[in-house]
Amino acid sequence: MKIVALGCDKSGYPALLKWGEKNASPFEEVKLFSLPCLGLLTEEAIFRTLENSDALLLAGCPLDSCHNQNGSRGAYLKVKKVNALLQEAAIPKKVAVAFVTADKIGEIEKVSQELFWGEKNDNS
Amino acid sequence: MTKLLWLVDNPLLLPDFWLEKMEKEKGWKIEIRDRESKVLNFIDYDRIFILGDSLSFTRERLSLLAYEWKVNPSKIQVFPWEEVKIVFPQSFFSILEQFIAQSLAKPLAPLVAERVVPENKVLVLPQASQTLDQALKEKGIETVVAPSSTLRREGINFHLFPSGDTVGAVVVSPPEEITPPVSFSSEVEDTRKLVDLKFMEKEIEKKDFRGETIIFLLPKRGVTEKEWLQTFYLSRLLAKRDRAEIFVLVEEVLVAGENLEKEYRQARSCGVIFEKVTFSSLFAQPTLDMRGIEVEFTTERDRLKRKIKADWLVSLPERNVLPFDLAPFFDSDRIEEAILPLANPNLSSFSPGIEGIFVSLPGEEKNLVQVIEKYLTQGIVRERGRVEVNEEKCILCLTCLRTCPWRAVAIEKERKKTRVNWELCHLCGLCASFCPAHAIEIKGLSFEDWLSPVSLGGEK
Amino acid sequence: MIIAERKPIKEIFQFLLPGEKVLVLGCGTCVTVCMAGGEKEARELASLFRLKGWKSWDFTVERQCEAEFNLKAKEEIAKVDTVVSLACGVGVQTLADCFPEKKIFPGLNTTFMGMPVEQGLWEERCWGCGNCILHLFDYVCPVTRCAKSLLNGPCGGSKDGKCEVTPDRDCAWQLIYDRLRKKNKLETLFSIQPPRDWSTSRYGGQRKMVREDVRL
Ligand code: SF4
Ligand code: SF4
Ligand code: SF4
Ligand code: SF4
Repeated sequence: MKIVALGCDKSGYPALLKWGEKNASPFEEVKLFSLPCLGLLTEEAIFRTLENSDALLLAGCPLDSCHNQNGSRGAYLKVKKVNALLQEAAIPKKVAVAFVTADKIGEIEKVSQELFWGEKNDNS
Repeated sequence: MTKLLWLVDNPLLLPDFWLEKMEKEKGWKIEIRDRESKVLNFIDYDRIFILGDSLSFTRERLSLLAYEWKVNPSKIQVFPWEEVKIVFPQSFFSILEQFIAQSLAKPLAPLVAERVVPENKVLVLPQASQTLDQALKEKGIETVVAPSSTLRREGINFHLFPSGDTVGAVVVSPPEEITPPVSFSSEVEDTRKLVDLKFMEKEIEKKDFRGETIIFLLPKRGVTEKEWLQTFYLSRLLAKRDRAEIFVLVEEVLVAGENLEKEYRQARSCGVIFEKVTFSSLFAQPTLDMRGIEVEFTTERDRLKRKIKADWLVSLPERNVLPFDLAPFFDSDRIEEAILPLANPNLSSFSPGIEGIFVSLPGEEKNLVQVIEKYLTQGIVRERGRVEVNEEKCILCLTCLRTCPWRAVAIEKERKKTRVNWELCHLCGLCASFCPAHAIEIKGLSFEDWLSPVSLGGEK
Repeated sequence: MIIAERKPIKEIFQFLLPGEKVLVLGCGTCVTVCMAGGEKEARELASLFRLKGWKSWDFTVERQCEAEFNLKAKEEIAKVDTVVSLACGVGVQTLADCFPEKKIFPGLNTTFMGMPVEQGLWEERCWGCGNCILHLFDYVCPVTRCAKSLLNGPCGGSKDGKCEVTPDRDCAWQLIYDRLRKKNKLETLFSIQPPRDWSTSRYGGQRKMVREDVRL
């Protein structure tokens, strides 16, 4: 499974780097990028990223302490919408978002595991 | 010949043979400097790359560097070296080459990083405490005490109407006002029956609330969707499972959202009573036996006064909130009052750390004044030209105005065109990502830039 | 303003044949403002089609309800087999008139005429009944906002200020009452509204307007 991981400058990206360092990723390949804030994401951007990858993992500040107040929330809403669209369209790809702080990466591990095993769970 | 500068923490990373190869093959003249060393002239370089420690180079810091170096901020690129080191050491050079080629291929946006300094004057709202007043005087900061009813923002300064004063910062003091819209006396708190949602959530699993009366208080603004869901869920559970009597006092119910309407209806059908009240007229006092709280309120529906003895009063967790009616003041310059999106849940009344707005806590005045002085003399560094609205595409839908968390978007009064105040913008991109006409461009940071980026992957 | 929402993706997919080239045509006025069919949504849908394996791209015109604007999309439309139009019903019909030989699919369900109450929330305000009587009801339209279009309301089902048909909507008659009471004009409600001539509304067949003064 090849995924793209995207984090915000403030917390997501540092956390993703830590996660990479721990080598805990279950994925075949992780492409890593940073953004000033997850608020920059659009649904189109998510779809276009998925054209070249199997899943997209987003990491941003926790919902109630987002540096830009609504940046993470915006991303959360978009992820929800995109996932619903993907499911409706029966496209076996997925987006997940983890809300983390720079030094707490447990959430990324959890979300990435879900992302990785998700399909199996769905079938059972 | 393209001149590139690399600022590295370890010069050994980029060996001479590679530099020569690049110069011969690509025509890139690459110079290497230690990150700490002083480079006198940054202007000559076509691109400046910073290698390593990429996490500490946030947007704000890069803007500051661009300002200090007097270069176009979009010339500065940070190469996430740590990541390459971790996952894919072999192909480091080819990745580097790709990275440079891509950065060079991107056209430079006409950006300038500028320092904007606010007016050296503060407005204290609604009144300065003595210590604060003294501390401000000591530093020679001129103060204005709110004489007016209107405060508008233009750039980073605030204009007071009708007096016409301009101030650079606003201090909210005294701090009593920074509690949630409903404040309770200490006696009410002494009953230990004033709790927040989180407490209720924990308690509900252990305790039976059979036959008790529970009041939920939810103000109009600043309640997150999650908190609404939680309220609906908890109240329903309490009413159904424990047959408790539940009142939810609100100014407005939020039902526009996923599942919200459903949960709301379910709660209502379980017998939860939702009552619209004006919070300013809400009054609470402990019951005589101190075992509960007596809440008095006027319903908006029939203007009847009601008094309810509650065994529990559930409120929102405490947080910093601007005094309710002050919140609209902190908006950016808008077309007219009428367009203030007051009922907009995206604009919370919390102090979001907007530049120029300070909250004075007791005992902290001295420190605060130092911060204010620093802000007033140094101002902030921002990038002019980074966010641009394509006026031809914009259809004035006001989405950007409603979504910007920093209130940086304005509609120009005369021209009726959308404008982003670069002094206030934090480059979060929310406006651009919500704009239905695709009219806002964040130069050099839009997703087209990272959709074809270098591959850093390859583990396992 | 006209409010619309996107049709379920499955419904749109059913219309498209495998391997077709698809153009998603956005409309840059009403449906952009209500975030259903502007350039952003057109791009979004086109990228979703691409993800599903169709060759697809997007284009947006100012207003699909005017033939002149549609002609701007001529070249783009010539390149594809199917057009998914993200305009309201008016726009789709105009588009179909402009390009009669093309397969066109209405990508939106046109829902109502209304206004954004706040970010992300739209409400119906007018039916276009053809004979406006707002001034009698303190500017709350009973035709639209009362589920039963009662002109001599309220009915017996109004509860807690909410409508009995859809309990999350305000009862229009409660609103009218409240607003009139605030203005101390409750007596206007004593006058009984006579039966209305609904022929100016949808019940009189398709409506048509000729304005001799502006016709050249
Ligand atoms: S969101 Fe876009 S179209 Fe709407 S007002 Fe802002 S710039 Fe204009
Ligand atoms: S980028 Fe963010 S801060 Fe800047 S104007 Fe847009 S929404 Fe506001
Ligand atoms: S086609 Fe429909 S949505 Fe587009 S401008 Fe015309 S009326 Fe509005
Ligand atoms: S009375 Fe008729 S025209 Fe007037 S607002 Fe109601 S539906 Fe529209």
